[in-house]
Amino acid sequence: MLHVENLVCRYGKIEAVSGISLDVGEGQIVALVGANGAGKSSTIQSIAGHVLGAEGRITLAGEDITALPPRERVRKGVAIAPEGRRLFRDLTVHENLSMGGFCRPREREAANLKRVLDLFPRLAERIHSRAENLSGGEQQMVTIGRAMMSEPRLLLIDELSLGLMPKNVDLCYEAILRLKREGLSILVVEQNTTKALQVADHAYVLSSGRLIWKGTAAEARDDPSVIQAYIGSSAH
Amino acid sequence: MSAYVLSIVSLVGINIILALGLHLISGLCGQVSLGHAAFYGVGAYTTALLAKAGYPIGLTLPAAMAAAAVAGFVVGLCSLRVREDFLAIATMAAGFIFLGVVKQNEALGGEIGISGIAMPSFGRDGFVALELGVTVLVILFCLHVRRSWLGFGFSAVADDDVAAQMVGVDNRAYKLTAFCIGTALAGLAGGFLAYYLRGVSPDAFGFTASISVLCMVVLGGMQSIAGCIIATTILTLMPEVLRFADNYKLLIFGALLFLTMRFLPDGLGGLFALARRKEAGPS
Repeated sequence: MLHVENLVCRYGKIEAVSGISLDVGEGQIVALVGANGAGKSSTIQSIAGHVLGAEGRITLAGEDITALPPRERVRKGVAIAPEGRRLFRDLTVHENLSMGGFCRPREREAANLKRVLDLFPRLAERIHSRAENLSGGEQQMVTIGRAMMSEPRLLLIDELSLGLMPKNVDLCYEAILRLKREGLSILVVEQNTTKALQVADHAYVLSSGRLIWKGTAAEARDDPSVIQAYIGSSAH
Repeated sequence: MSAYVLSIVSLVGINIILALGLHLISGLCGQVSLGHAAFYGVGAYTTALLAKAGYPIGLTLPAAMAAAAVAGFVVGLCSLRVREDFLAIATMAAGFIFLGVVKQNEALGGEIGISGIAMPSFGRDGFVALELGVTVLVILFCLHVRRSWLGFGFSAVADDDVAAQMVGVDNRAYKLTAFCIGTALAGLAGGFLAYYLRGVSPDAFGFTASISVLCMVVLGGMQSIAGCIIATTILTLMPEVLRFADNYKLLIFGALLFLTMRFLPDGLGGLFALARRKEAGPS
């Protein structure tokens, strides 16, 4: 579904990502792990089109999307649940979710909303609450739900479990496993390596902007020293 | 209805159109503008020049809107490069540039302005009726925009333009659209003002006018059309009811801005929303 080739991103003179290549197959979950500052978020933001001047080649289902602006990538099927959630704080849950379907015909909104509320029944109870009044877990559900409203083929999730209670982390991971079963391709950036490897098919490890290990998640799970050796104490 | 009352009603209508234009730009789309009076002036001068040349109101007003929208588009381009306080300064500068150009240009009447604009052929009563009809249409248009996909996009850009981009909103297009529509409405208000005063002078479109209209929008509540209309009506009528207040207009407007920001940041619209929530009970 997604093929990234030799991705480079720079912020001024600092090279945050140095020639990373990765693949996400159809209906797969791929984990991108690494310590703080490894270049994970820059990679995912580049795929979504939010890093100006990113170099390399990005293809989605064989189509080159490298030169497309973010809104066109959303239309092509790339959705992002960003780090920090970035919800529209003054809008309600319903409005935030509707906003997620901005680039899709309005007549499909009801069906997409139903799908999201099936995925996160908790949101149905909070549908008229303002986003700023939600708990961290609920906000993360809205963030993923908002991304799902755009009918993505590829879902990018940045720091899925950051700041969430374990119960909510489990709820979110259950949801993405369900989405995977429905055929969605998912690239998840995580510092919670253990959790990410439990659900992922493949894993990539980044350090200082470079790809230092790749393989199946099972390989990493069977030999935790693989990950521990690369990202040390941040693996938990 | 007496000529005086008609005149006041007419002025309220003009100010509502003007304030709703800024409401779209700053309230709905979150783009700070301290130079709104410049577009008001562009509309007024365009109307004055065309009316003096003998063109009918059916042509002068659309031309006023178009000229102001073009100016708004140019200033709106700045909004793509700068944000918040820098945008405020840029729009303020646009206001000063407008005044500088107008005052130095003899073809535009210089410091004195342009006078002797004829009332449209349907007379004063007909003009007021037309103006109030247009004011109602502008209110309905703004309500429609607010509930439309366009308004939804404006709200998203105002709330978090990066997040808006993440859901597929074209920030550039939306910011420019807000500037064009908002400044076109300012141009329309300016066009009506030119007929209302039977002339235009640069002092009516200075920084004080920009702050006055900002005060109407802020007091009304940046997110509330009803609040904006009520605040505009109150602030337009205030100098008429309290004659002495006219001399202290800037002082009063400044104090109102300060007090609103300090004690009522959501303006009158925030009060209405609070009342509605209380009426609905705890959720």
